[in-house]
Amino acid sequence: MLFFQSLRKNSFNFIYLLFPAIKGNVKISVFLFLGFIVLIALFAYIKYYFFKYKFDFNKSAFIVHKGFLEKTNLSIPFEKIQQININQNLIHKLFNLYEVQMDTAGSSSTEVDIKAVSKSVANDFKVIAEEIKKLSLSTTDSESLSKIETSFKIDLKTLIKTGLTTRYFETLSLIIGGLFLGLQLLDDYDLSFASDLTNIAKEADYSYGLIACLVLGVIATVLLTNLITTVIKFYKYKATRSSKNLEIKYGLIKTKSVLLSPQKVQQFKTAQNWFQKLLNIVDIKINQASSEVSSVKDVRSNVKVPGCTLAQKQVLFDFIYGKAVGEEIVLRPSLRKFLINFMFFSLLPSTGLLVMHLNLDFFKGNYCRLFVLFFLIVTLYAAWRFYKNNALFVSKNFIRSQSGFWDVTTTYVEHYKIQSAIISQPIWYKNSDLGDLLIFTAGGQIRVRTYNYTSLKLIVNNILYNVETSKQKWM
Amino acid sequence: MEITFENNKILAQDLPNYEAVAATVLDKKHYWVVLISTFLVFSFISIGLILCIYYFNFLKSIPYKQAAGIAYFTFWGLYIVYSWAGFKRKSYCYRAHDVIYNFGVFHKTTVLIPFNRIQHIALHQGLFSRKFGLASLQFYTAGGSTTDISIPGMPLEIAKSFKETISDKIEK
Repeated sequence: MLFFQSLRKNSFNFIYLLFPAIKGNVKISVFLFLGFIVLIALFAYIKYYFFKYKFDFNKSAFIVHKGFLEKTNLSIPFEKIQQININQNLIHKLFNLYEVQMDTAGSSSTEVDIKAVSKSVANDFKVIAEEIKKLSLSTTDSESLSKIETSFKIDLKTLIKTGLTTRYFETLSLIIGGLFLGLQLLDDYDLSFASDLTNIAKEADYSYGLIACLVLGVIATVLLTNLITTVIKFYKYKATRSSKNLEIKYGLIKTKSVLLSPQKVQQFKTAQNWFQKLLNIVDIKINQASSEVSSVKDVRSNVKVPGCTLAQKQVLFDFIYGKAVGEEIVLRPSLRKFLINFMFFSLLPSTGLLVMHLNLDFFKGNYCRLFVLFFLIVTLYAAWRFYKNNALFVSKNFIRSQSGFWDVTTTYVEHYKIQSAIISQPIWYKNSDLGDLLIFTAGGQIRVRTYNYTSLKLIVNNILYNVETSKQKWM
Repeated sequence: MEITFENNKILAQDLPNYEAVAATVLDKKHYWVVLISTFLVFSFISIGLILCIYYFNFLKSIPYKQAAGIAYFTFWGLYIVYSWAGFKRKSYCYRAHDVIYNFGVFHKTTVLIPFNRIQHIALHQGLFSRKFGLASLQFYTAGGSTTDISIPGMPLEIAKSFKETISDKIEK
């Protein structure tokens, strides 16, 4: 089963099957392509045929029978169903279908995903979900719901602000990677204009004007890509309070809905770069544990809030934690962290580039010297900012780590959510009393390096004590 | 508000120290298990290399054959020394509420897992550990596979009794 699943997930890689066509063997590639489509259709049909589900009100459970080669029978008691999400992607919208996702309190093997149901079935699910919620509310003690208004929306203007200020490095590396991949592919398949392109690139007169144009072009592409993807992904972002949880819906082409429940939150991450600081917005990412088994990669339980104002961030924080951070002690890394980063990521590559400049023909030219200088200054500044921004804050209830040089990320973790800790010291730091600490939660880890080892040991003892004496459930 | 580290009320200074308790080193017989598996790997690789040299003529004519041979055996010698150092360094300790595992030659590492955060424990015996009456205990947490530890080199009976006591503590 896993083989077929991975085949399906990686099917886009089989685009390479089409390449014989480009080389001139059209018949073979058409045959391969058709054969592949038939196989996929066959598997899809088998999966559809062998998937049956029903609500059994006698047993108070949701029953699923699925699988052809590996048969699975799932029986999920109603009280274990935590949330039913109704989603739609582009294909669903075309055919007026919906996707039903059921989140359960249990292992990830009892989470149900029904890929396509009609509108009436989706409505039935919605009604049943409401009934189940009412049932669970009546059994839990009636807590007076907080009077604070926690529902909020993110308007288009804020989305534009976020779109223009996030993910610079990620998108830039994607574009560079894509360019190289594209050139490599063209080269591999001996297309005539590939060699023409590389010749043009080599013989172009790299005047400052041309370089400035290229740089501006890249910046514009990055900004535009980010803007479009952000607006499309988070269109009409809305968070509404529903009993103890926050229901979040967003999306233009692919609408998603996620449930945020304070008890399941493992990590609260905020990120802000210099532009965002000017615009007074913050990017928030909240990790939840969807099951007992670690599910960091489980997209459905990670909540992303693009472009929150600081006030909204505080509202969200209070909603989840219900308490302030309080007094904190600060721990900062040793200066060695900066020196080591500087040497390895700044000095060494610059020296390497300089050596290449002096010895290889391709790199001779004024622009290369300027580039090396530019690289040295930028990486020196980045290493310094990295060192200055790195800090660990410990308070009675929280432990918070801050890191980054452009997107400064702060991660909040409550003590009792910690699963385990790893403390280590390289033998060459024994005399300088420096070490590293890794703190694990079910939603990811916090890592601090090159900090005072004695202080880290004290923190570890305290964390262990807090975890071992806490009676709260971590999810 | 930030307070100085030395005089703070947030971190208690008088808590039990994880370093204070004496840790148990691995059973000496476990090193035989390590040696045997290293020897097997060494044999496989060496036989593979010999076959390659025998069948592929071009390898017979590479220069510095003797230096390469010496380097090969030096590598394995160093590896044996490193695995011995690693073995000496491994130790574990079961306290009242958590398990502590130390390892690492160049990076001295300590993993600390509280009992109430363990997802489940598994008792495992490898092919050769079984012959020496040794077993290893594997602890799984919800923090990801980086923090899942496997403590080898425990006599079978002791491992079984630890598994029982810790399982009880988890069930609570």
